[in-house]
Amino acid sequence: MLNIYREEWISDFRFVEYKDFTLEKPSFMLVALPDAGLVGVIAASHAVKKLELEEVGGVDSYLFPPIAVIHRGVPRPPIRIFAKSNLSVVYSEFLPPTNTIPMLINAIMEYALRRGIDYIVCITGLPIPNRLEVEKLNTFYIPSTTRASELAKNAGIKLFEDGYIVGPYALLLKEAMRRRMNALVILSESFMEFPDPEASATSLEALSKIVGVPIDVAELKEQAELIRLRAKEHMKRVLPGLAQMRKEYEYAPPLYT
Amino acid sequence: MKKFEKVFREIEEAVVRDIEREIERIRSAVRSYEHMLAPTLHHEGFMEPLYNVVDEGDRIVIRVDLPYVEEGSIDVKFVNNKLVLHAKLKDSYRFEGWSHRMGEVRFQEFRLALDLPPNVDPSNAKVRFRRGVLEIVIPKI
Repeated sequence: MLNIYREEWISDFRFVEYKDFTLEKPSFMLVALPDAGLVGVIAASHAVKKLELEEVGGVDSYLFPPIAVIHRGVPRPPIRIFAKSNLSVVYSEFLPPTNTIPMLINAIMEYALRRGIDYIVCITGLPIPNRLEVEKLNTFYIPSTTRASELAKNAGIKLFEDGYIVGPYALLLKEAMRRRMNALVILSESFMEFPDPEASATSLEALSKIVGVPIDVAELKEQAELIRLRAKEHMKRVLPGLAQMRKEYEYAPPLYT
Repeated sequence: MKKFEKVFREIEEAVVRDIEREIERIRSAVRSYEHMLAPTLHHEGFMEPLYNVVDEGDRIVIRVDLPYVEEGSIDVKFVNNKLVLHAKLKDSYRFEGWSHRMGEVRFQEFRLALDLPPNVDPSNAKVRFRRGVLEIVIPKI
């Protein structure tokens, strides 16, 4: 069973920790919520497995549907927190109700601030209509501060110059700018409605350089078809939430540049 | 008086048509929502794949996600204005780490039956399979 070491309410969200832990500096928090192609969630799940991150906590709220994750027979909150070395991961396979996402993002940012996280990183897909034709996926970044931008420049990925992003990470970036926190969103070209482990692998290669921890993605690429099979049901459950957020705006070019 | 009766009847018919169209639109949205919520894993060992349908003006493009499928086993038919698809997996697949009755089922294939809009010409459909995604382009009449 998991023993609660510490519990903290931030707004309407309960953050629990199962043990005392500190992260090495510079510290990173990877926030993974379901989004286009489940790119972030697949990437985070792979990173947690490959780096053998330990489950150190979780997030729950009465604003969420009544969901518990059962893993190895032990109930856990629907949003799980893993950590090791200089990396922590806030991971959720379920997409919270759209109207709770702004508050959740705010709470996660506050938690990151209280924990002294130096950089918040998010991975997501950038849906492109011609994904079937693309051999080599492009990866972009959007920084909230100059410091975050400097970090991404060394990773060999392109700045996302103009366009829209819709969803939890749009809120995270805006909140990070407001709080002057270093945040980076990494976007890899992907499918919108189909799980895309290849996009996850591409993003993880960039994350690896940013965090300074090698993450082997060979298995992710080899097992891509089986991962797509396994993630299929999740993707289906996420799609109505993405539609509710008006995710289709990402396909529109901005009129004023 | 007869002139007014004719006008009122036309107005009534137009209003009834609008109401029926709106009811059909709501029904279609509810069916679509029910479909979105319906499970896609069946205890008989088949799965419904993810798909999307895009109206590109002069044609409909249907993309079906078929990971881990034997390309030669993909069977696409058009029957009574429905797209009917079967595709066998390379190997039967079980969802490990899932303590649920469906976690014991060995899935063998994908099956999909999709209603097509009335104004398309399936006899001229083009089909291609790339990166585990089946793309079906059906021109409109």
